Amino acid sequence: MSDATDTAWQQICSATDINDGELKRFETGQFAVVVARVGDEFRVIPPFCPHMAEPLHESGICRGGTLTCSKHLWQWNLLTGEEQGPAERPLVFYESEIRDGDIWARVDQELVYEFDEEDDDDFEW
Amino acid sequence: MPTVTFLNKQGRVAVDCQEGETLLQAGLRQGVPLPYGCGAGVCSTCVARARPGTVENAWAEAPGAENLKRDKGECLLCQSLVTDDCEILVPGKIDLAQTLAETPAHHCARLHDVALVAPDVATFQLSLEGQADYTAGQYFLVRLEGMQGYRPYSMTDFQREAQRLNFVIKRIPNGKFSDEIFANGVSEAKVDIFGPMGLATFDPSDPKESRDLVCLVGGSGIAGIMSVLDRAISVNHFENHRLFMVFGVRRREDFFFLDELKRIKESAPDNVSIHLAVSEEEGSEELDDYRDFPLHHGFVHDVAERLGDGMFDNRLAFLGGPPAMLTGSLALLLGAGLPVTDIRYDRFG
Repeated sequence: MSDATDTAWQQICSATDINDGELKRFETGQFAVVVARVGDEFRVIPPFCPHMAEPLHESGICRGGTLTCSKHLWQWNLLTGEEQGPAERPLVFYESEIRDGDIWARVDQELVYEFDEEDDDDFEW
Repeated sequence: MPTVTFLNKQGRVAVDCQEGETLLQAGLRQGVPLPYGCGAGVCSTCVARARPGTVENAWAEAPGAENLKRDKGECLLCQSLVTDDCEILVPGKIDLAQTLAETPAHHCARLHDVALVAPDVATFQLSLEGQADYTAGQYFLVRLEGMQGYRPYSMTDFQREAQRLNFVIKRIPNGKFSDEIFANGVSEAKVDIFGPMGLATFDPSDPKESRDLVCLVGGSGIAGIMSVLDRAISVNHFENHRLFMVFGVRRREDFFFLDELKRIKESAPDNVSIHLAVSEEEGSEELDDYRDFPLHHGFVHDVAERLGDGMFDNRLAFLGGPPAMLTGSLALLLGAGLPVTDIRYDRFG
């Protein structure tokens, strides 16, 4: 467990705020995150789809531990972040844990998906 | 004529672009396997990058353009026009060296036989100067002469070497095409069309698609599903496979195509199960003349969830309707264990 006095960590919500299979968006003060629940496990993720930045609290569907963005049907294992099916980028997580029934996450730095392809630099503008 | 070069990590391919043709149309017409969904500025599947200033945006307010990073040159291929040679960076892992087996084309056509079939829905036909083949579930992009921008319309039946295509159109407030039909009473018009397009298709001759079907549809979203069902009964698909279908509208008076659905039911009564749903009216008394179709109250995906226990296993699913219905139905089917590859739909709305 993290140091409770570490100011990089913030309380995001209560575990009871999220039903199994649900995705909810929360503001941390600096930026937004989405909390997802799979059974008794929770994951805190950036609020946008790694594909085309769709808002996942609206477009995301969580069933059986798989997150599906309904926009273009990219999918991930919500517990590991691993891509499934047509997805081409993994899901990233904020470090998180449960403290006394609340979800805490390390949110000192915003996680942002790199949408540019690796060789975009070769394509000079 | 400008040359457009599509490129990515996997390679590059150069094609010609005709005057007034979008980059998506130019690429698909010449067999480039570009990513796309609606072809009409809504779904944002065809996002790509061009050098800033090298492409013209045909529809700045396109819903699918909302999240574009224009400073990085992002554009929608389906809304981009060019007058000079340009290079387009296509995202993802598509192999641009591959060539599409079937390519869409431009056609001139005449719109006619407009008929109101429900208070907010009309059917219409397009007679082509030539003929077209399409796969069940596909659509054409349609543009009225003198009007900017194309709208996607799914064919409502299945034909080969078609000379006359059948469609439905929904009344949409301030919709340009819709206003011409519903408000201005246009019954004859010249149109440009491009197609066929769309991947939410059904080919029962493919052994992998010789399966039971589930169809969840709302309102005019039934169009492409009717093509799928027409294709199915053309090969007596339901003699050996089952269909579970829920067709929803807001009020009883909004139903249409019920005679066509009756024909599908009668093709294999024991294997075809069609339910109707109304979201804004209570009561569950079946419609006169359609008592084989149980009537329910609620949204399509909610009705399907109530009725569908065990109905979704190993089925091929086709969805059509407004975004909320699609999302609700998708959640239902994913929850029932269907893989996304077995769930097919177009996002036009």
